[in-house]
Amino acid sequence: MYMNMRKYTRMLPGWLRPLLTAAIAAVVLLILWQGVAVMMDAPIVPRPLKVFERLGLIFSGDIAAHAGLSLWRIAAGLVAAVGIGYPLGLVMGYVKTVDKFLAPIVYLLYPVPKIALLPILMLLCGVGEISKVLMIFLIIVFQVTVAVRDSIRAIPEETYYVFRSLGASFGSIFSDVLWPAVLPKFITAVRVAMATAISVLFFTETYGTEYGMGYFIMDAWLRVNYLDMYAGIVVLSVIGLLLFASIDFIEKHVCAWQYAGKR
Amino acid sequence: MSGAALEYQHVSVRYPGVADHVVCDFSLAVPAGSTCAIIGPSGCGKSTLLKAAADLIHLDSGKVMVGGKPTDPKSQRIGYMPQSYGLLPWRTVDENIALGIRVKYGTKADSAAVENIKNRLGIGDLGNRYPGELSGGQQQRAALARAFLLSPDVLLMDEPFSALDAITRDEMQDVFLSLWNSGHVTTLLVTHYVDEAIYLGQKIVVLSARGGRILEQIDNPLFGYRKARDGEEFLAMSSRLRGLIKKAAS
Ligand SMILES: Nc1ncnc2c1ncn2[C@@H]1O[C@H](COP(=O)(O)OP(=O)(O)OP(=O)(O)O)[C@@H](O)[C@H]1O
Ligand SMILES: [Mg+2]
Repeated sequence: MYMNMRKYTRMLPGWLRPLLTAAIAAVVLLILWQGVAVMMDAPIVPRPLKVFERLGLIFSGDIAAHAGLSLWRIAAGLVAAVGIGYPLGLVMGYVKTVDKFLAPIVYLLYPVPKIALLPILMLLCGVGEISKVLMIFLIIVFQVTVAVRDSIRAIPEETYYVFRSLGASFGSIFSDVLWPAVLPKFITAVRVAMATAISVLFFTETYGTEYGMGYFIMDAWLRVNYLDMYAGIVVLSVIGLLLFASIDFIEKHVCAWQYAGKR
Repeated sequence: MSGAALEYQHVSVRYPGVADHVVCDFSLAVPAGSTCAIIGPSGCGKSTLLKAAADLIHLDSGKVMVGGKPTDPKSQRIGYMPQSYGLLPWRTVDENIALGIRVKYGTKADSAAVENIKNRLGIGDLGNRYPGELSGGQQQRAALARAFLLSPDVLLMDEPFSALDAITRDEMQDVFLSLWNSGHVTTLLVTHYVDEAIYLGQKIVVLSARGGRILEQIDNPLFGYRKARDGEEFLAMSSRLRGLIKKAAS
């Protein structure tokens, strides 16, 4: 069955294949959801069609603003984390003495569940935007730092020899060696951290704000408005899906060499 | 051209944290337009010598001259081929071949020249592949193409063909010689194989196991003569070298 599917999907153009599998997965989920809703026949599990109807009604007027703010928080945290984690990992991987000093600090902080720092963050930065963005920043920054440093360390010495024997500048070593060598693990780190970031964001949005998907879903729940709540959950998962899909897409294109020989 | 294109003058190297010199007072002159093969027991300092010539390691004392001036990768064209070929897995074959020119001069390599050398090396239709999609022999060809496209002042090759099977190795030695014959680039190569030293080295240098001392320097009349392998002279040379290496290792 699986082999047969591969045979058929192979006939499709490359960009269509992931879309098709995503569509099949979505249909299967919807059927399951419909099945459960019909079986339970209770307001706590509304039927998908009703939820989508409701979503169509409230999306542009209401949910869009919440989703926009959640996305903004993710983007701000991500940009800050990459802006600091990437250069930090680069220097730690490239200069051994820097790594010696910074590695213990990173190792000490990395395994701390960042959510445990939330009370401290709230005391220091208040319950507003800053602590929410900072939380996402903290979750992503260590993963990025460690991934970048490790990929730089994995570059064989001989690669540098070739460049130094050509009298290469650091700029050329960066663009030809460091940057491409780091990309695959860097992107993977962002993808993994992103999953945690989204779930923690949901949590942080349940206090100190009246905007964000977390607030919207919890608020709908408290109002016992299950249709709104489900519409929020659907939007949240679509946001997640879009984020992951775009990271995947970027990875496939900029790291094509990784799939060399496996095509 | 006259004189030595590559000359080691009393070179000593010590690695940090290691008390003994890996190479101690090493001197060797490789005449311009010739090839020289270095052979010796494992760990005797062969790779270290090549790195010294490419200015990749710090010398304790002495110096290496390229074309009469101290070796300097910025102002000289030094072709260095590490044992693992040094191809970038994230660049296509074409990009890898052109890399030497691009990094050295900041200009694009002449694409006709790239095509030409690829065709001579029999990898004309592999330009868009990544190194991970090539066989060992094909990777070796790409690395040779990069080295020769740069037309270096000196070519330094660290056990260039040792990762290949015997048949491919023979083939690659012929490929190398045919490239070398069209430009006579001064070449220093390290090898583990007596046969290879005799086929590719106009001069053969045997190193001792410790301190990278030269046990013997041999002018090799059998250079580039493939048929020699069946002759008596070859057998004599071969057993002489083997004897020296055995002595070196003990
Ligand atoms: N970075 C380093 N730090 C300390 N010691 C080193 C370093 N590199 C090499 N050595 C030591 O120096 C000696 C010579 O090394 P080198 O790589 O030059 O040997 P080689 O003759 O090329 O050996 P092989 O035939 O196995 O490639 C070895 O004993 C090795 O252990
Ligand atoms: Mg070696």
